[in-house]
Formats: sequence, structure tokens, C-alpha cells
Amino acid sequence: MTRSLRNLPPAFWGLIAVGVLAAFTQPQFLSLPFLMILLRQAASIGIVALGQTFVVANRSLDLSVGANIAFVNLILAHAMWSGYHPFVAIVVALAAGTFIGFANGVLVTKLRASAVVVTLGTAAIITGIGFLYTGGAPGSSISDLVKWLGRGRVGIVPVAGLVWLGFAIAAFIIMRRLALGRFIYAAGDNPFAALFSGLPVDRTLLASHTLCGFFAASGGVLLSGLIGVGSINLGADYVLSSITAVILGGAVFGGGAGGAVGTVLGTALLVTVLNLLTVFGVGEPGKLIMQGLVIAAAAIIYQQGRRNG
Amino acid sequence: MIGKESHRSIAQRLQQDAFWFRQRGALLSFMILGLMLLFLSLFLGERFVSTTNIANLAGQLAPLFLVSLGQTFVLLGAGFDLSVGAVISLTTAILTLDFPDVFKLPLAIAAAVTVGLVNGVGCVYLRVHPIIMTLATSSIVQGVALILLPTPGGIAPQVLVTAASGTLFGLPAGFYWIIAAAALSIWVVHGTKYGVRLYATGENPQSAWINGINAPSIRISTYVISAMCAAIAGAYLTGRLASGDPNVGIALGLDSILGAALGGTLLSGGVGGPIGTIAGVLIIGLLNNGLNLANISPYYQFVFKGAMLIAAVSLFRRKEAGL
Amino acid sequence: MQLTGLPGMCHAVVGENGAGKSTLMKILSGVVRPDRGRIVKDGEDLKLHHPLDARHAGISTIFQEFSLLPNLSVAENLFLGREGDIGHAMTRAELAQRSEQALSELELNIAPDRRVGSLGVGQQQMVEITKGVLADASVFIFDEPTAALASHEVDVLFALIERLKDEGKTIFYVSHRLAEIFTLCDDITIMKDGEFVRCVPTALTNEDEVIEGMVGRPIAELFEARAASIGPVLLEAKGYQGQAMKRPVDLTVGTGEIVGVAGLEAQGQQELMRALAGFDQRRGGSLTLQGKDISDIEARKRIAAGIGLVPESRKDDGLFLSLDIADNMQSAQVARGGLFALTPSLGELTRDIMTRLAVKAPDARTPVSDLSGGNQQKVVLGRWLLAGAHVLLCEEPTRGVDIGAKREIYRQLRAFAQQGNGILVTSRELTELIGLCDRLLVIRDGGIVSDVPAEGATEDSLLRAALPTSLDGGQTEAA
Repeated sequence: MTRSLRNLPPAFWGLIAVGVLAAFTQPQFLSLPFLMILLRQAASIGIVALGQTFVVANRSLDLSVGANIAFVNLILAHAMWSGYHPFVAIVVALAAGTFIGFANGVLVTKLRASAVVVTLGTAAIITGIGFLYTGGAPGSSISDLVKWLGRGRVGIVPVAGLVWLGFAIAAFIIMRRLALGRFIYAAGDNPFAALFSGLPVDRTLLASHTLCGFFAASGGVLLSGLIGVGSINLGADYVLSSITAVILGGAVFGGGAGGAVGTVLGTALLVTVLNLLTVFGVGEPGKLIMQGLVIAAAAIIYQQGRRNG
Repeated sequence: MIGKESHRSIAQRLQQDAFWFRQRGALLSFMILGLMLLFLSLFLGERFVSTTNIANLAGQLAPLFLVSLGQTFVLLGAGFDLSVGAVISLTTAILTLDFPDVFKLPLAIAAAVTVGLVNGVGCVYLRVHPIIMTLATSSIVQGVALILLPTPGGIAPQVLVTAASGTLFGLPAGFYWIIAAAALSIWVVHGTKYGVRLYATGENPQSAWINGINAPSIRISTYVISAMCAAIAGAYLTGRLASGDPNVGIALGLDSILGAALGGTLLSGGVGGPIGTIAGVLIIGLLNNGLNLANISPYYQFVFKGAMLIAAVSLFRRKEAGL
Repeated sequence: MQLTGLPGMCHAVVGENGAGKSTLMKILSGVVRPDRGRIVKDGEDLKLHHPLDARHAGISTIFQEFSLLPNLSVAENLFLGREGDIGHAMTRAELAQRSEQALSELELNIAPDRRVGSLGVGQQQMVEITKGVLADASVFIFDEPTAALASHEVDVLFALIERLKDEGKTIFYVSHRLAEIFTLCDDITIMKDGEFVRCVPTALTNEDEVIEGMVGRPIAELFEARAASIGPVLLEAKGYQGQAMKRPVDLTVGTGEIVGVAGLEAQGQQELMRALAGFDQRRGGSLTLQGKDISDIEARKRIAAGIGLVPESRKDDGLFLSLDIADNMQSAQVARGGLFALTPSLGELTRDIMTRLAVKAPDARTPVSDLSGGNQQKVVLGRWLLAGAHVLLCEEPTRGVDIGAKREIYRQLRAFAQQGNGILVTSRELTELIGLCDRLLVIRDGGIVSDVPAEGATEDSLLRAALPTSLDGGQTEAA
């Protein structure tokens, strides 16, 4: 019992605290319609963060998710798809994003270079290609299908929220029910021990990066639908947000902790806190400060717990 | 002194001599740099080899030199500092406050030292991963910068304007900032016992500790040095722009890692150094400059930079894949 | 624990692996803090919280695991952290000159700007020794200094220690090799299981008494009976050589057989094991497992075919420290499936093996970091039992575990062999190999130089075969 309590991610307690705070100070914040707006907004970050969870648990990192999202957005908004079924654009965009993840994975495993530098490098390359592709002027032909995914509702529930749920279930199955999940945690904790146990260490890392690329691209599709136009700098802040959500969810570079549920809670906490700050009238700078404090606090608490436990 | 072993080949010496082994990345960067110089002067001729262009280049590159050299210290100590960009922003914000000049400079330095200490203590004593720790402080510091200076503007201290955009003996001020920073960091790393201790700590903090080196202080000191370098870069930028800009540092944060990595400093610590970083920063600068002068779409910069970064880090394979 | 060193005397500390010798030396050098007790030098209480404290107190240690930094030069390593002792910053030339002088006193011909990592193990050990004696100290601790040395280097070291004795220094000398101790030391302190047994002057004792004190019981009791008969060959290498191996190797491991690989430090034991397990590319020769040719298949497939590797460094290469027992034990079995296979349910099997190996833990969800060294080692063994390995390549199976766990591990290894499997095992402890194995191979400079039954082998005969040239000169093959 004590162990399962200890294993709850920091985000769980954070959410309870924030919920109580909101209930006493801003009760309308907890109303169903408002929560549904939050859900719609959280969905894209949530999916990107789920992707980031794979690589972080695998002791790697993807700093190119922001560029990935921007690239997906530029593809979706490009006028070249006007004559095709809207599915085509989505499939092409997802394929491009997945390929970015795959390329990261190949570079990280084959070159054995630091994932931080490699993904910074791919981010720069993708950004450049995006600029060249659009000539610096992004289109605005985002299909209604994409907009429906980003903004639409089924009853009261936002479509994006349902998509997020689907990705969360998929991530949960991968992490906890498939061999891949075991491999990710094992190779993330100790790549050498993983190698000597016969684990396919490189293919695991390649798979995590590819999954991260696919998840980031999917988040990019939802975000593009929500924004509705092409935009050069879309998703730049998603790098920080996705890492924050993962850390709040309890995963810290290997270490066997964190997972789909943790990251969903982490995303919920992050989005709730940021919106609550808006309600309290705190501006962008205040939110940045808050986000930094929350990352540091979660990481420090987690690290101290590990040392004592 | 080497006497009987002097017949060793260059390749052997690169493997066997400690100094050259740690600087083998720098050697390569200088070769690339040489090729670039040759290429650019051949194809661009006068446009490239002109005093105005070179003065321009020095002025533009000085801030990147400063932060990259600072970042080099952190990387040598097996750390990582993503917060330098935010520190630059914070410095320009502080320096353009409506406040007497005498207080602003010490305040900016004190702020930077604080950020460095927080980073260092968080990474070393609280054992937070450097990427996470400095990402967190980066966010906080950027927030503070935006509170102090919400939009670009403000007035820079006159001293800084003169020091950053004046000329001396016909050379632009930026040139002297570069020379001073490069000379100082090369001396510290290669000419003092701190330098040897830094290499030792970066390679293996536990062994360094057994040898009587206070490895935790060394690691913390690298974050302080890096933050101070960022503050100096911020001061230079403030002077050069003659006003403040709370977002000026963002791009420099990542470029500082690029500069050090291109110069052959490994992210795993203990290998590389400021000499290579000089080449690394010059490569970035010449790339941008060359593309500009050749009228190639600036968008290619991103692609080239990214490709070069990946090429640079792939030269030295590590044992494990990942971070 | 008690230990007294006198000026001008060399005091030996002996004990089995894991008896606590190295920990004791680490306490004296300030690397490990004592739980209780006092350290007194020249009538003064010493508080050693940091390696610097020991240095200031005039204690210099030559560490067993080198304290050298491979990417620094010889000169930088020699003076690392003690630039202050000299009083002023040294120029490069001065540093080089002082280093050459210090090195030449130990008859070392190494350029001071050489990178330590590019030197051989023996030279590195000599540099470590040079560094230790450079210190202005009155107490010198040598922790297994000869483990990696060739015989002429040993002679240089002994001359050095005699000189230090003449200068009135106090010397503590930790070694496995009793012959050395009887030629060099004045007193012997014997330790067992982390405790003081007794201290005797060398002149008043003999090797047998010392061994008895170290082991505390007849050795035979620790080990299981050897195999009554050996079945057909399980693993056979013919001229097999990996990229990192210096020479091709022929060896066999039979069904029910435990084969030991003995040798001095770093003679290619690890390279051999890793190459057999497939973690090093094949350069030549052939390797068969149960008659099947596995020469050209990669490590993962060799593991699937029934080879298991227990790596020497449990924490670095063996365990997933932040995962639980179940995850650790099941890793090799799960690894046989593809990335997208469902994880098999192995809970019952895991519990079964935990009981069989007597792993002391509340349940399979206990993090392995909470376990003792011995239980952790059982988890690594359990991994291969669970995966159904037929041949276990076992590096240093009892490193850092207490005597009770050692016995348990010997029992489990023997039981594993008896079930129709084979084991190839390396160890630094010759007594362990002699007691545990059925047959012993001696490896020297990457090649197997001797193949003898363990029954009747002695430490002396093995050491003779293992040394490049034996201490008394001639090149002797073990009988």
C-alpha cells in the first residue's frame, strides 16, 4: 500500500491541491462547460507529452517536437492539398512527423550522439525545410476535417478530448502490456544491463523516437485544427510544455517511473494551473515563472524521494 | 623532453597524448574552418575579405563567443546549461531599467551569479538532471525578464553603448571583447590548476574527489561561469542595440551549445575546450555571413546549421545511445 | 576492528574477498567514513571525512581500482589535486620534468604527456604507485598493488617498499598473494567477514596458519561436491577469436560441468566471456552450442539459443536498479519476443525461482536496490534460470557478497550444472575456482596456457602458469 502511494506521480497530489484551491476561489472554473474547454485545449499538449514519455522513459529526449508540430501545421495549411480528400493531407502530415521521429531515432542510435544535440539539429533542419517549403508565408487551407478534429464536439465532449483518450489508451497498452514497454523502462534504467540481457536496445530507442514523432505529429494535427490557419512558429512552446507534463507525471530520464497515466495527469495539472493563473489575472511572464518553479519542484521532490527510498 | 617517443606518428599522438586527445575535435573544426575561409574568399572575394564585412562579423559574433565559451565550461564539467539565453534576456532587462547606471551593472552580475548558483546547486546537490534543472530556471528567468521589460525598449547605459559599438585602433569593439574572452578562457582552462581539475571532474567526479578535488564546487562553479558569460554577452548586446529586448537571448541559448559542440567539446564532459569553441563559433558565423553575401535564402541557414551540428556530434561515438 | 602500523615496518592485511580489507583501507584514506571507532596517528585523533584530510594527515594510498583519470596525461594525474603542496603553480616544463624524475625512480620510461588511458594496465598500475609515493606522507597504503604487474615490475615495487621502510615510513600492504607477504612484511593482520581475527609477526607464523585464519573453516565445507561425471560437450570453441581478443581460444564446456578461467588481472578474461556471448564480433574460429553452429549469430540470438551472461559489474552491467525483482528476472525471457509482442505472464515462474534461489525479499515487486549484494546476484542468476539458459558465462560470481551468500551461490551454480547445463566462470579468487569448478583453464595474455582438473590443483600451481615469468625466474607450466 505504501509503495503504491509512493508510486503516484507528483501530478496526482498537485491536481487535488489545485482542485481544492479552485473550488474555494473560482468555483465556476470547475463547471462542466469550462472543464470541456480545458480538455479541448489540453488534448494536443497531452498527446505530444505522451509521445515525449516514451523517449524520456527510455533515457532520451526529443527537443524537435515543436518543429515537428510546426511542420505538420505547414503541410496541413498548404494549398497543394485543395484538390484531394482531406484524409490525404492528414496522412501525409502524420507520415512526415513520424518520419522526423524515425530520423531522430536512427541518428541517435546509429551515430551514438547525444539526443539533445541530434534533436536540436533535426529541429533546425525541419524549421529550415518548413520555411523553404512555404517560402516563409504559410497557407491557410486547413480542411474542415482537421478543424473538426481540433474544435468539434460530440455532444458536450470535444473530439480532441476523445482523440487524446484514444492515444492515452494506446500509450498505456504499449508501456504496460507490450514487450516494448518493458524494453523502454529497462533500457532507460540501464542500457548496458539491457544489452547483456539480450534486449534489442537500439531498436527500442528507435521505436520510442518514432512513436514520439508520430504522437507529436498527431498533436500537431489537433492544434492546427484548433488554430485553423498555418503559422510559422506554432508549437514552439510545446517542447517545454511536453517535458513539464512528463516530469509532473513522474518520469525522469529512465528510472522506471512514469507512464501514460502519469503523463495524462501531468498534462491536466499543467493546463489547469496555467488557466487558473489566467483566471487570477497572471500574465505570460508569471506563467513562465510558475512553469519553471513547478518543473524544478517536481524534479527535486522526485529526486529526493529516490534517494531516501 | 619526449625524446625517445618523438618518432610517433600524428595519428598515434592524437590517441596517446592527453592534450591532443582532448583537443582532437578542435583540430577537425579548425580544418573545416580553414576550408570555409578558403572557399568563401575564393568565391566571394572582395565582398567577404573586406574590413567592413570582417568588422561586421566581429560585432555580430561577440555575444555568441561569450555564451559559447561559458557553455564550454559547463560541458567540460559534464553539465548542460539551457538557461544562458534567458540570462542574456534578464541582463538586458536589468540594464535598461530606469535606474542609476552605477547600480545596474552590479545588479545584473549578481542576478547572473544567483542563477548560476541555483543551477549548480540543483544539479549537483539536489541531483536534478541538468537539462531539467536549467530548463526550469530558464523558464523562471525568462519570466522575470518579461516582467522587468515587457516589450523591447528602455535606454542602455552610455558606457555600454561606447564599449560595445565604438572602435579602437580602427577595429570594432566586438573584436576586443572576443579576444579578451577567448584569451581569458584559454588561460583558465589550459594554464591554471582549475583547468586540470575541471577536466578531471568532467571525466569522472568520483575519481576526482578521491584525488582530493572538490568536484561539487568545480561543477557548481561552471554554472556560475556560464551565467556570468551570458550576463556579459547580455551587457554587450544591450550596448550594441542601445536598448533592451527581453527576447534577445532565446536563439543564443541553443546556439551556444551548437558553438561548443561544433568545436569538438563532448556533452559527456572532460573532452574539448575553448580553443575548439572559437572555431565552432566562427564556423556558425561564417556560414550565416557566407549565405547572406551569396544571396542564398537565409532559410538554408537552419538546414546547414542542423546538419553541421549532427555531423559534429557524430564524429565521436559514445558507448551508449540516448541523452 | 583494530590495526596498528609502526614506523619502518610493513604491515600486511590479508583476508578473503569481501573480508573488508579494501573498505578498511578506504576508511584510512578518507574515501569511506567509519561508522564508529577512532583513528590515531602520532598520538592524535584523526577525523578523516575527505580524501584531502587523509592527505594532510600524511596518509597516501595506492588504490586497487585506480584513482587515475584516463583522459588526463601522466603528469597531470601525478600532480592532480596536490598542485598546492608544491607551493606555486608549475609550468608545463617543470611539471614534465618532475614527472619524468618521479617515473624514472620506478624505472618507468613513459612520456609525461602520454594519456593514461593509452597505457597498458601494468603501466597504469605503476603510474598509480608513482603517484602514491610522490606524496609527502609518513603512512603508505598499498591495496593489491601487484595484481596487474609483471614480475620485473613487482621487483621494482618491492625495492621501493624496502626503501620506504628504511626511511622509517609506515606501510600497510593488502594482498592476496601470501608468498609476497612473507618476503616483504613484518606483521600480518588477518580479517574475516569484516572483523579482526588476529595480528601476528610474520616470523612466527606460516602460510597454512594464515590461510586457516582467513577462511576460518576448512575450505571444502564452502563448496558442493564436484560433478560425478561429465556429459556430452555443450559449448565448444575452436580457434574462436573476437575482435578484442588477443589470441584465438579453444575450449569446451560439458554437460554438468563447471569450467573455471583463472589468471592474473586483465589477461583477457572479460574479452573472452563477452566474445563467447556474442558482444564482440567474431574474427575467426567456430563456436558450437549443443552441436549447433552459433559462430555467426549475434548476441541476442545466442541468448535465445541458450547462452546467458552474468556480467562482472552487477550494478553497472547486470541490474536495473530502479526496477523491481520481477522486471529484473524476466528481462531475458521477455527479450525473446518482438517489440510488439504482449508481455507473457511470468509471475508464477518468477515466484518459483525466487523460492528456489532463496531470494530474501517480501515479494517480486520489491525494488532490487533494496536487496543485499548476494540477493542481487541471485536475481541475475534467476534471470537466466527463468530464460532457460543452458550455458552460463559467469564473470566473478561472488564479487562483493558475504560468505553466506557465496556459499548459496556456489550451491545454486552447482545445482544449475547438475540439471544438464554447463558453466564457464571467471574469478580473481583462485581458492574459489579450485573449490567450485570441475576443470580449470589458465589464461595468460589472452591465450589459454593450461587446462587441468580442479581436483588436486593448487593456488601455487595455477599462479605459476598465470605469471608471465614466475617470481623465481624460469617459465613454468602448471603440471
